[in-house]
Amino acid sequence: MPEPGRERRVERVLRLLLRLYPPDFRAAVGRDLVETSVARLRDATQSGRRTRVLRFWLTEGVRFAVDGVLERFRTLPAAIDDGAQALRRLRREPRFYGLAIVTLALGIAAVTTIFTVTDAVLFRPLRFDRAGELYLLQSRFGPMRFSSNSLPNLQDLRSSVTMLDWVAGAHDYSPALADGVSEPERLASLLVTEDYLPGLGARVHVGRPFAPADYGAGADRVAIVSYGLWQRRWGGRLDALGRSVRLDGVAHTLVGVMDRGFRDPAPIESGTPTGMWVPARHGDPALADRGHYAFQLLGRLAPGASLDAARDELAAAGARLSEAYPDDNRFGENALAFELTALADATVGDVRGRLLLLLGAVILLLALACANVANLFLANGTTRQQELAVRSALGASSGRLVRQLLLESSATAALAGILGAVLGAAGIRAFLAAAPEETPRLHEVALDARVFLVVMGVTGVTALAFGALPALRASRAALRDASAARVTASRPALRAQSVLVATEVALSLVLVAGSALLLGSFVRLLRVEPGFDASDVVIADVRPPASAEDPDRQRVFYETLRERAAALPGVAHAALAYSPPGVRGGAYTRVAVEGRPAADFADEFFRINPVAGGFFEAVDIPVRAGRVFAPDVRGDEPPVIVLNEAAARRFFPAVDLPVGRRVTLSPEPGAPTREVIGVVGDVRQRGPAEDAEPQIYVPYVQEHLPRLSLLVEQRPDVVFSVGAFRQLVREIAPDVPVDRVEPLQDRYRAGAAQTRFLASLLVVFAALGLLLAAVGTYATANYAVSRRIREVGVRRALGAPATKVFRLVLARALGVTGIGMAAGVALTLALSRFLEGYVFGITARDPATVALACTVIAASATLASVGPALRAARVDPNRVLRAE
Amino acid sequence: MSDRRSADFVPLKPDEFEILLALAAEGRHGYGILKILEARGVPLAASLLYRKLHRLMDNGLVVESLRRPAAQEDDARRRYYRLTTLGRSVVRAEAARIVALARNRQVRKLADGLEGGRA
Repeated sequence: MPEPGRERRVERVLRLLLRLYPPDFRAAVGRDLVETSVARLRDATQSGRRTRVLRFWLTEGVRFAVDGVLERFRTLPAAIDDGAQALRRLRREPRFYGLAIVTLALGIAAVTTIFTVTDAVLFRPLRFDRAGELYLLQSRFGPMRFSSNSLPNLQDLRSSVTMLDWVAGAHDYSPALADGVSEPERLASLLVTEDYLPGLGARVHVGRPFAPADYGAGADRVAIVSYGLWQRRWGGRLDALGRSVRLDGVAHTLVGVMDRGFRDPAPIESGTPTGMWVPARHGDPALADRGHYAFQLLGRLAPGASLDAARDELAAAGARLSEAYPDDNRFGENALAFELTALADATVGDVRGRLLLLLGAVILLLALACANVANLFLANGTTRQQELAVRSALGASSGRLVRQLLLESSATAALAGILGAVLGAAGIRAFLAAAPEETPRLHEVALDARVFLVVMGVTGVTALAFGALPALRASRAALRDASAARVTASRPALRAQSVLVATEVALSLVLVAGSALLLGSFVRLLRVEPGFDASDVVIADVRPPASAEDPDRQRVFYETLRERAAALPGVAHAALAYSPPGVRGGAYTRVAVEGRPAADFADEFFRINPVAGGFFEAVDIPVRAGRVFAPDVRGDEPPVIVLNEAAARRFFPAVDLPVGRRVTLSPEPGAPTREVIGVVGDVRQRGPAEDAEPQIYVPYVQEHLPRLSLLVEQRPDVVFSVGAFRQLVREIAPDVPVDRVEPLQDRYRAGAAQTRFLASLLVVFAALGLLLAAVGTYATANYAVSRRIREVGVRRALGAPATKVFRLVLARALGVTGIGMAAGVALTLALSRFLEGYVFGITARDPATVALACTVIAASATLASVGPALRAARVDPNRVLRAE
Repeated sequence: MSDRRSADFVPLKPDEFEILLALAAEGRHGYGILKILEARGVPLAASLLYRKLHRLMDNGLVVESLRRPAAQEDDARRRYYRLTTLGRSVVRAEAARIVALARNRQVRKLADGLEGGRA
């Protein structure tokens, strides 16, 4: 007999057991499950078998409970199954999802690249012990800044300043390295004080670090070699340790190899990784000179010390040093002062602005990519509206639909992420290869998982949000309209898409205009008249051999070099210059000008450039007045100078022809005056981006500076042989390395490298942006056509010509583009101030450039809309109406 | 249109086919389906049946039926399920596939070979 009471009890227990099932499963089928088990019990009872409660629970009950637990584990494979379904869907519509994936991946890659670089260069702490407390100590005399100070002053600071618990210095020099085995080479090296390496946390890879005794007066000369040089020159062999090498002719014993990962702070190593470290020995005559400012100083704030207190203490120390040693530590009226710059800031320097600019650009690009993906998913979702509505009406829960669409969009995002990571890694490599050499900290850049995940997150969330939106809308629509067979509630979707496309157009206009501005600047930089002709001129940096210590021998070396080079086949002119035109760096001097008060030139420095041979002829600097130096000018003749026009204007503003006037290259009384014998044209000495500065040319034999560059002008028909030149140097001085032999043009254009790099990156981003905007325009126009296909068919049936339909669709698409462009122009003008420091020869709001960008955008939008417009024009009215 | 979509579901998983088959003649409640499957020698755990049923409902092959049996046979707690048009065309397509498969000479040869081997 059925026993209603027992059944109710059993049911209650089963309901409790339902808790074992996963909640959504329980909600969906719990009632059915309980009902089934109860039915089994009832059937068993009705069939006449005696059913004990215990037996029921042992079979049906246990199965019921175990199934519940199993079901919890089954939800995982079910999700995987849903995922597989989503992937199948991706495969069925490769065009749509391919577009979405590529769009996202490009955005992710670009942003990951720039974020990674920016993070490594700007935001990561430097890789030194207590890096945040490290400061660069620069010296200042009134308005003049020096990056270095002397070793005795450094030792003074170390013992007297308490707010800094570590003060160390390094003196960079470039000795010729010779080991009697391989070719001699020029080496970036550092003379370091005792505390320098340990304080930065440097460790040796093999061998030993410097011991205190290595710094003692008269200690044996030792050196630590960098890991890279050790590998390159000695193949990483351990027998390199203990080897004796000659640095500028002086024997040093290699005692250790520096740890592979160690690099000196960027302001100290000045662009080139250090090859050797050498102890600055106490009592070396050159180093013991308090006036020999050769060491760059670093300090570390003591624990608990404030920066202000350290500055005060350093100010007092500077005043004290000036007082005690006025000969060495005063410059005219000005006493020695110190400036503290956080090492991190000094390292990054003016690269910060450029990187932040790029960061801004990729953030725009990321926004563009997100807008594009949102747009694509909206378009796709609306075309699927009908399918979703039908499924919803047939009982598919909205949660289920949302979940499935979410899976589809997350599969899209995941694939885009994988592709983006691959592209991003390639992008970082490309960035490192293309970045200008002087960019700091590039060796620390590596693909950063955190950065990548953040970027993935942003794009992924966008994809998910806009992927799920259509499902939500579909389920709502289904509720409203049970038949839901034809859902056309897509006007708001179209509006949303139009807004997105307009946004995309605006953002891409900003990118295109920005890149056009920088590209224009770069072209203008290349077109700048440099004031000299570098074509056919080869420059070689050669220093005198270590054996030529006195100026006379160095002069003989250079004169021999110049004469032998002039005799090489194919050489038209061979000249020497301390500062070759268009190359940064050089020497400066103070002046006294005949007939002008000394105060007019106090504290002002002018470039002095010793030259020899046919210098002005070799680089074609025009003579404006007077004459240039005779080829055989001698050191014991009355001293003469040649001014450039800027110097002539500055020194003799009231004189038409300063030839015959006199200038002293020192403010001190009694210094020899020199006669101006000629005026030559200005050159852009510091690269194309900077105006010409006043310049004083002197004959090399009358003003000695220890190193010169050789300039060789080739005959147009014969090629200058670098090999023959090297051979020549080897014959004159076997120990002297020939550092860089290259066209002067390359050296000069390096001055535009930063602008070129910035411009080319922005061009890449702008091209991406343009592509994304075009895709967005296409998708929206295409969708609009799909949605209005019936309307178009009716119009055609009523006699509208195909051309009219074509024009109509095109006009709608371009209307949206026009709104976006208007917003984009406004945004470009608003953002132009960020570009101001990086443009050259045009303003950051250059109307022609903005107009050009608009043209490019309009053209690409037209191209993108032509396809959909053609499709609309080709609609066959019969077919559309028959389908009704 | 339904042809295209029913093709998306073929081939069915065996137990899904069994469920659809059990519903082919008339709408049934879950327990009813279970009993038919048991009778056909393909018993299914209740939770598995309901999960499959709901998957089929999500895909639009099965819906909950509003038509119920006469009152004396009915139980208010029961839910009845029936095939949708799509479900019906899917089960037909699957049946057609199986028949076509059974007609395949190679398949028949293999099956004969098995029986022969057993003999």
